[in-house]
Amino acid sequence: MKNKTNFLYDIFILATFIIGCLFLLSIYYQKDSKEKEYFNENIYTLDIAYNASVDKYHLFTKQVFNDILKNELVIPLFEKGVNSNGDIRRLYKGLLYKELYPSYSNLREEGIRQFHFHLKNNESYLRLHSPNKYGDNLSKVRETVKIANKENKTIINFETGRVMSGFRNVFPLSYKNEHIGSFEIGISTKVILDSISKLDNRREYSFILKKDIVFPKLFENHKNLYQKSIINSNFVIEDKYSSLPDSPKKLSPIAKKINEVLMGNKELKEVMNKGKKYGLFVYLDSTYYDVTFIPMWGVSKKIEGYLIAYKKSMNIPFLITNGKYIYFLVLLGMISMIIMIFIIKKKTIIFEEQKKWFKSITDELGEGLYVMNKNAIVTYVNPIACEILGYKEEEIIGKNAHILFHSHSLNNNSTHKDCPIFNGVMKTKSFSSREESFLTSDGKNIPVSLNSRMISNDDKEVQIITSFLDISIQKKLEEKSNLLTKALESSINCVVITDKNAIIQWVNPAFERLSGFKAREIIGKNPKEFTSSGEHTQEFYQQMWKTILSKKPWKGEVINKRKDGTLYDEELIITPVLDEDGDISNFVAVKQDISDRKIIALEKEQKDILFYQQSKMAAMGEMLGNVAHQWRQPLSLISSTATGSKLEKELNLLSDEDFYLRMDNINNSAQFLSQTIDTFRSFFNPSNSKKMKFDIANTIEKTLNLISSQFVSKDITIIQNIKNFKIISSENELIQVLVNILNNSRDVLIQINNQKRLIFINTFRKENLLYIEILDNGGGVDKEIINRIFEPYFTTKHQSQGTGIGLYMSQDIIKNHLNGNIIVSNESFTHDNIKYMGAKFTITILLDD
Amino acid sequence: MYKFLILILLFVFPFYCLNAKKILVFAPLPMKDIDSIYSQFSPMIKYLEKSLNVQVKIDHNNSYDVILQKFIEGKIDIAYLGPLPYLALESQYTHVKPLVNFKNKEGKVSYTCSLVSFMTNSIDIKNISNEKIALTQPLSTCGYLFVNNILKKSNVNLEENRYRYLGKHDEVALSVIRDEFKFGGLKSEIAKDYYHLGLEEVAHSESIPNFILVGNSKTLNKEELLNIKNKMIQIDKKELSLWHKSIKYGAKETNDSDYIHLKEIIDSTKIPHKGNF
Repeated sequence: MKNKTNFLYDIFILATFIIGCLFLLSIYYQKDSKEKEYFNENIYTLDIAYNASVDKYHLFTKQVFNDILKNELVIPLFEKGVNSNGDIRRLYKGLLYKELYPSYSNLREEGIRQFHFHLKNNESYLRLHSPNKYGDNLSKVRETVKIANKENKTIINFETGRVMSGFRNVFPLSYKNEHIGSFEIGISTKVILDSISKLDNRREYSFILKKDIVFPKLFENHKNLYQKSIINSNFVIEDKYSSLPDSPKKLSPIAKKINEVLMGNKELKEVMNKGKKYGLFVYLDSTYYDVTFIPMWGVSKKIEGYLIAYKKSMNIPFLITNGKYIYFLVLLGMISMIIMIFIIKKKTIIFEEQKKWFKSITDELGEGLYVMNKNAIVTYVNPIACEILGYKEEEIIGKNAHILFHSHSLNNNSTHKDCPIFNGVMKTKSFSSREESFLTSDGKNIPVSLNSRMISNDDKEVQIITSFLDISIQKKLEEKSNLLTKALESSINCVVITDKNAIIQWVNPAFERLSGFKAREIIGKNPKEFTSSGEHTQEFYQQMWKTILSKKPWKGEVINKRKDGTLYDEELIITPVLDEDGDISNFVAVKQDISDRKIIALEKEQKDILFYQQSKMAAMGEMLGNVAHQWRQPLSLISSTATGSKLEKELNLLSDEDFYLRMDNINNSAQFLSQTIDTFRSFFNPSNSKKMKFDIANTIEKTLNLISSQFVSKDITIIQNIKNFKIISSENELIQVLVNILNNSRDVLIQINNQKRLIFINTFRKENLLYIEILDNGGGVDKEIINRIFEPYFTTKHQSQGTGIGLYMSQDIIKNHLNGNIIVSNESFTHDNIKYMGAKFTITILLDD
Repeated sequence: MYKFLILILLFVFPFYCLNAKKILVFAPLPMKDIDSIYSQFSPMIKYLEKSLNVQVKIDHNNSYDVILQKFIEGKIDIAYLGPLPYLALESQYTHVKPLVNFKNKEGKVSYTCSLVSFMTNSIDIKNISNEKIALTQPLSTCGYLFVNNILKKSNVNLEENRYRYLGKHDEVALSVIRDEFKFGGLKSEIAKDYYHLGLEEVAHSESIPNFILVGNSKTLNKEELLNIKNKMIQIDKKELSLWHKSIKYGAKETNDSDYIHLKEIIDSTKIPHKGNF
């Protein structure tokens, strides 16, 4: 668009420039034409005056010549002189001079300057005007003489000469029909100029002569009389000082000034060198002068000089005198026009850019925008409006907005005249609503928020600009927001929202209920001002702030103070809210009164202690059973060895060797008993419940040592696939768990009689977890109860056999003491080609690498 | 601003003055018509202008008296005079300084005057009376002084004839040719130019100091006068070849002794300032 506008304006500027130039050219040609006309007239009148003067003197000289011929002595004296020599010639020449001198003397007053006799060989015979000069051959310098003698005819022409230039009238002379020479009557240029002046005295006249014509002819002594013309260096001025009587008078100062002005005129020089007639104006001292040039041709058709006429200009056409002003005005007009177009161009480009900018704004506007006239006809619609309404631009432009997309059904089926938008804006010039609906092209009603404004320009043209926004999503968001607010307000958990400086901005009713403070009392305050219980150390709070300021949520239990001063426990989660730049803008604290839970937990803890004690007791019972079982054989061995040895001693059958052997057996059995006691004591030793680093393989071996006697006696085979790992934990608690699980498996397996009783113990590592799997082939746990087996007091055994605490405690130990997990599942497997089903307990404990 | 312009003018003016050419006013004796005078002296003027770096302006006057008066008034710087005008000027004006005498063809600084008549005139000068005699000017050496002197030698009294001053030498020659006068006195050199028209010399004078170039010490300083004299003496032959025959043979420093005899004649002759008819 910009390029197109540029191009159009450039064309316009170019057209203006061309038209201006053509206009200037037209003025130039008209001025030139007027000038030519003016000068042609000048040249014409000067030409007439010049020719009239030359003709006048030609007729006069002809008459003079005829008068001379009438003197019967002249030709004979000339003939005799020509045809003689020595003293006779001197005599006749002197007599001829004497005869003609009176006429010559008289005619000088009439402007005749020269009487000159030439021999037929062109040699100068007698100059009455310069009698001491004679005998020089004129063939090379006087073409008129040469032709007159050669062709025996009268020659009349301007011609430069050896002494001075002038208008020559050369008459051939004959005596008795024999050509004997020629006679020349010369008219000085001054005479001709005077004659022209008489005919037209408005002008001042001068002659200049062609240098290359006149200089070769001049007597050397005369060259100094000539001066180069300042108008044209190819021409010279004759007798620069006008010191000779026949020289034209000196130029007037104004004519000299005019010549100075013409000094650098190249066109004039060119014209003069070509020998053309020419005229021009010279503007000098606030006056116009016209200068006219007429060439004077020699007899050999070469320019011998120029007649120049100077005249104060009269009746100059307006176009000539004011041409430069007209040029200036036209030029000024053209420049002004171009500047104006430039300005308009610039403004248009700015306007186009603004329009483009405005369009880009309206195009990129998040809101729909359309403009309609007073008839509700849409004149402009932006892309987002098209997008919202589902129409193409051309489908909306020119249509009635009310009819096309104003949802009538949702606007009481109003007609365009009753349209609330149209009427509203027409009445009050503006209209805003969030309750309007527009109908999209696919027939869907969308809620819109709209603002209409009416503007009118100077022409009273009304335009209604309406911006609208599809607020469907906004409505939904508002609904969601309302829901969220309601949810927060309805939440039993306390919600406190602070700014990044922990200044409370919002609290929900739950917090009001919990703390006893009303929202209005605490908004704008820091919670520490009114909830701090003094139960926590400074480090506690520092740790909390350190966490949340590192943009991580903090979770913990805090004891706070109510308005009435009582303390309460709360579980607090503080979550930092980050803004778009990732900086903390707010903190959201969700807190829950855990005073009751604390009591329950305390009760549970006490209960767990009880369970633990019960479990311990049960374990002790179990252990005692195991001890008893383990002791039974060595005690029996000791007993039988002792009684047998006593009997054999009594029977004197006991050899010393047997005695020592049996003592060693008794001692070994006693050692075994002692070791068993150490093992059990170690299990029950509370100091062994501390966390320490131990090998899992060793722990499993210890476990099996505790219970193996009962498993062996029950024909239960324990198959181990143990991979050793070092863990840091409470070994005795882990042993207690393993014993519980193994005892459960034993209790299940001893009820099975028709198959092998198997227990598999596997340990392995997966990622950073230690897996301990204990799988039996006891048929598995009933699906209906498998999820309940870790509940306290849940047991499938007879009341005499089980307390229902073992697995509950095992889970508690694993989860809460060892930070691990324990799950149970049923698994079918094959061993020795026999398929089994059993329960699999999987314990996972975090390995500390 | 004005001070600055004045400073510029003060700085430029001396250079302008130094570069401005001095104008020397030169007055030749009006022995011939103006054309001839210009023709005669143009090369010399050009030479002086070039060698002296001056501008020479011709002041043409028809009367010898006028020339002498202008010279005395300081309006003329240099003049080309005959011996009689020179001596007349010298007698009444001390600032006239003789510079050079022009040589003739023979290299001598002298010339002669001729008494001429038309070739058909058969009257012997020894017997003339009441005849018309053309003279140049009262102060012309070849005028009354010469004619009176030459006729006196033939025991003829000029006053017994009718004489008239015609002004120029060539006019004297032409008037004799036209038979307006039976005799005429003029410079021999000029007379020769008209022999082709039948003019003939009847008698001529003894050698007279040739025409002289004089300077006006009232208008020219010594250095300038010396400079002109030297330039006129030191002209080379090539330059002289372009000059008029009356002055083309060079010049020589004036010797006052050359004028002693002429002074005696002048002293013994009372020259009337007007013709007697």
